[in-house]
Amino acid sequence: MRYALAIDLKKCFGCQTCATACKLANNLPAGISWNRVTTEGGTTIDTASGTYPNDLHMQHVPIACQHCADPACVAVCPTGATWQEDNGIVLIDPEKCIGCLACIQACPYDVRRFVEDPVWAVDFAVGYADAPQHLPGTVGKCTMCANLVEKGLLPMCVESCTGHARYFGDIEDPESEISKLLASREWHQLMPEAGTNPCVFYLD
Amino acid sequence: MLDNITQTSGLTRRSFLKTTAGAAVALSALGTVTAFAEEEQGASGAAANDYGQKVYAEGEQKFFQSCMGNCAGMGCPCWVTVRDGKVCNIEHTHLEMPDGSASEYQVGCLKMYANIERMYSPKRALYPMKRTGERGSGEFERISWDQAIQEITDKWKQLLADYGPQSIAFFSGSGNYFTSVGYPARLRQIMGSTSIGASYDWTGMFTQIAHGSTAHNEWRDIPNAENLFIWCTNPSESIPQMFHKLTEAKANGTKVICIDPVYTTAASKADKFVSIKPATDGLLAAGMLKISIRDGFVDKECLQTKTVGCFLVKDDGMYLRLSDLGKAEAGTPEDSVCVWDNGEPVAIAAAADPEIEGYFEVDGIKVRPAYQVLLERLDEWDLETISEFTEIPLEIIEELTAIWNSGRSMIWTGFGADHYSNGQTFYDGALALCDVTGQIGKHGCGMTCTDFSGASGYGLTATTTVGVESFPAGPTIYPAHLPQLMENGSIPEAGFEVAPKSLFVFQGNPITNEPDRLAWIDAFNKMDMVVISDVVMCETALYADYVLPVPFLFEKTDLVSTFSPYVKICDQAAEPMGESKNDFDITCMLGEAMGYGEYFTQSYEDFLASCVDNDTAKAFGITWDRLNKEKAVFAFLEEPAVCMLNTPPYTASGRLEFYHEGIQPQNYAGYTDWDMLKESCWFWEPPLESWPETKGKFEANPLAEKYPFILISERCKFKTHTQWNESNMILEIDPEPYIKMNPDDAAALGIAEGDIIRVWNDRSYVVIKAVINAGVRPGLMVIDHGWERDSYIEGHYSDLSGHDTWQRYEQDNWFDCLVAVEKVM
Repeated sequence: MRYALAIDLKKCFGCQTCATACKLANNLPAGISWNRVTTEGGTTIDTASGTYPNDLHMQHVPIACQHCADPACVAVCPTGATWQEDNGIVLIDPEKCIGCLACIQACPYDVRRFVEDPVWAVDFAVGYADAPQHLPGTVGKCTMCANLVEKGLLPMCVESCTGHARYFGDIEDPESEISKLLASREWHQLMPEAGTNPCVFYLD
Repeated sequence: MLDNITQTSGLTRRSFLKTTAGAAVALSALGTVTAFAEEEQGASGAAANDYGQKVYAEGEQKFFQSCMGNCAGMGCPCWVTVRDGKVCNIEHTHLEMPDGSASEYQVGCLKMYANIERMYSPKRALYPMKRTGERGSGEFERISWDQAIQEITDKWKQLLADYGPQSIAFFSGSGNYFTSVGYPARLRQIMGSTSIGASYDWTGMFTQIAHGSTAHNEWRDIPNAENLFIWCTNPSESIPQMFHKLTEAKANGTKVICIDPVYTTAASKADKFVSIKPATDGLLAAGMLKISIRDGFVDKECLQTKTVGCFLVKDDGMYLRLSDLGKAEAGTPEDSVCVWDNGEPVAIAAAADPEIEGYFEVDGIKVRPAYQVLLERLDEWDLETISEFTEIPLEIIEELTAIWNSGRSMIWTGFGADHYSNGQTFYDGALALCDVTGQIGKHGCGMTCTDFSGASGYGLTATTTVGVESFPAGPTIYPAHLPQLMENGSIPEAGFEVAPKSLFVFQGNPITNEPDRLAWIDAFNKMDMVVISDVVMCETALYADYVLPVPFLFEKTDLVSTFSPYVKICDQAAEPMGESKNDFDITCMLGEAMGYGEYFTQSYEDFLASCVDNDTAKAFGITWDRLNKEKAVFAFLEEPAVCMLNTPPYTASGRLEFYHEGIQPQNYAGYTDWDMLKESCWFWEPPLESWPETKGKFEANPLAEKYPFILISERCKFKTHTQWNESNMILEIDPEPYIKMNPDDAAALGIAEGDIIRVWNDRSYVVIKAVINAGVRPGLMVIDHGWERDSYIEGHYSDLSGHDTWQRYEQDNWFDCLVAVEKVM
């Protein structure tokens, strides 16, 4: 079994719902985002590059932990705080993390976030009761909502996706929806040259 | 962790009794909505079989609720989780349609998940507050409810005695459409007070209603189109919940065209982006109409049977009726409009093949069909001129028209054109294009409108003014004439005897959201007392004398059905914060203190229950008890609503009206130069201000010499107007306001990304950050709508727009705004 995400870039329209739903579900501290939606285009989000009006380009690309098959972060973690589950999900144990930032330097995707002294917008814990902990001086990142997946629920970014653009499933099961999509559509991974073999697939 | 330990609500899946009403509904298309609903009798609804209601941790409870702003969602249902008395999580629902498929009306947007940070925001209004500092200073003192009610009603009693009922005004916007929120209208009715009406989107709304419907095609119908024209709307921002209809359609082979001055996200998803000169969309529609007619795509049967195209129009603009020929008594049901058939005028019902073109005369009365009037209007323009005005090459207009006529074509519009004062020229023109080419009244053909064409469950009718209808209502003034009324003290010719000396604002934040903000502040300054009820200390609250706190969405039980095929009850999930009281209770307290206690004896629950105690509700099997048990009861059509196919038009003629007999200004009685004949049918003239270049006989606005750019405020997904400004997670993604401009304009002005710029005109200025966007048409400056006063470096973008309006509808014209731009640093 290997869990993976597919994101249909023809359907993603940069609505940022995955970003806010993730933030709530995982009780992320202020200033911390595990799931960001970038814009290929101008410098600012939701702007285009090119020349008006006939040569313009804008494409939204959501980016979170790629849950790589060969994760660079796991390889460099000195304490074993970062590991990969048998189902492919890459996780962090905040009790073991010493905040050395080696994983952040090793990760090619800029998706890990160091929490020095977490503060929240509200003064009580939000999201799911079993949302990941955010201990001071530790690194956090997308867990593929492992706490929801083990209940048979979808990762929150998939569940909430307003554009119906996200798919979650087991890519080792040829009958899964995601496997069929990957078999029938063109797709790419982010930065394949990094050699990490991401399990987030972007449908072109 | 405990799986599924409790269920806090009793939703059960109910079998849906398949109705055979479809055919009957189609036949009853000219009846009323109520009559139509009765045809659906037996539809027991599809309650939720929703795994979202499961709770996963001990001590948690879930409540059925609704995200709600005046956004295109207007009520995306959700489950909110409560731990330790606080709302701590939000999930969207999984309501099912009667056929078991997932409801299209429930997957919320980014804002749904940002509600907890609004609910517990430091900007919440918690206690009754009284202004202590200068207006706008934000300095208030906490007072008791008793003091607030006493002082407000003492002032009102004095004003009533001294100046009469019109001296007290109520403003309601569209903060949200929960049933209780409009309850202050009951007190307004009893007091005979003046209404200050919000008139945003009125041109776009009422031109569509005057033609036929709020939903010529419901949103769900979008993928049924073979050709989809995204035109005057920015759906990724203003209706994210339904944007997937665009990509779904495209994936199914629908050709998608986006017509806009700005390369939007929708444009980036389209097969073709067509850049158009701002405010000329009505001319493009006319060009497509002219080409369609030239190439033989006139649907004569549609014009004869579904539209007023064959109705005979006299030279005075009115229809020829049998009474004109002495064949019926005027004003009686027998006094039918006439059509020309077989060489003579006959009643509509007696015609077999009525003429749609030509000029006729009977008893010395000259007449021609309404379609002939439209042809005359189109004859005033040639295609080359249309191309010159719209700045779209003629071959592109030809191509667009060929696509339009190649299959089922639908316009997905919004209120972009509406925000210019000549907005009607687009809606009238685009709907005439649909009518003439027969692209109307069928699935996949016609017009759907962002923020307007959603399903709304039948059977929920607010009983706000039941029992007080006999009190004479006061007049309604709109923002276009409010400054004049405040300046002059009265406008007798329009029915305003006295300017308001007190204002009660509920369900809205006009200081930011209305154009010409300085005129609003000036109006406040001319009043003795301004009161606002609101959830947060919004910008308008900062300028009020009294602020009355009301609960957040999740802090009260309420009913809603807007833009949802369900009638829903949303359950109170948490205690109202601070001393906030809901609008119902506030209204009752004010009413009792004014001496109208006998009209405020109903309990809140009885009020809500009364709103679903009507014949339409009964027809859909809705009862108060069932709602409380099931939370959401399906009360709509199973198939997408299409005007003239399965829902009736709103028009008195029962037909689609591209011609408007005897049209008068809808909202203001004081005009003396109204041109009824001109306004009866499509025409094109430039907007009042945003016309910076001379074209043909229409000279440039001289203001453009000083102020060469058009400033438009586009909707952004991060807010619903000014709501969600207090959510931290939203501000982390979109932290500050900025003006977007084309790189060539920026280069000419010496402006780079991130520079601080000053944008100004004769009205005022704003100092703000610059962002370069290659997708902005040269000559345009674009800002996201909804940023409040304290967001800007200096000034306010709402100070730049004016309040002038076209006469047909009193209308807010934010985009009629010429500005100059310079770099500050």
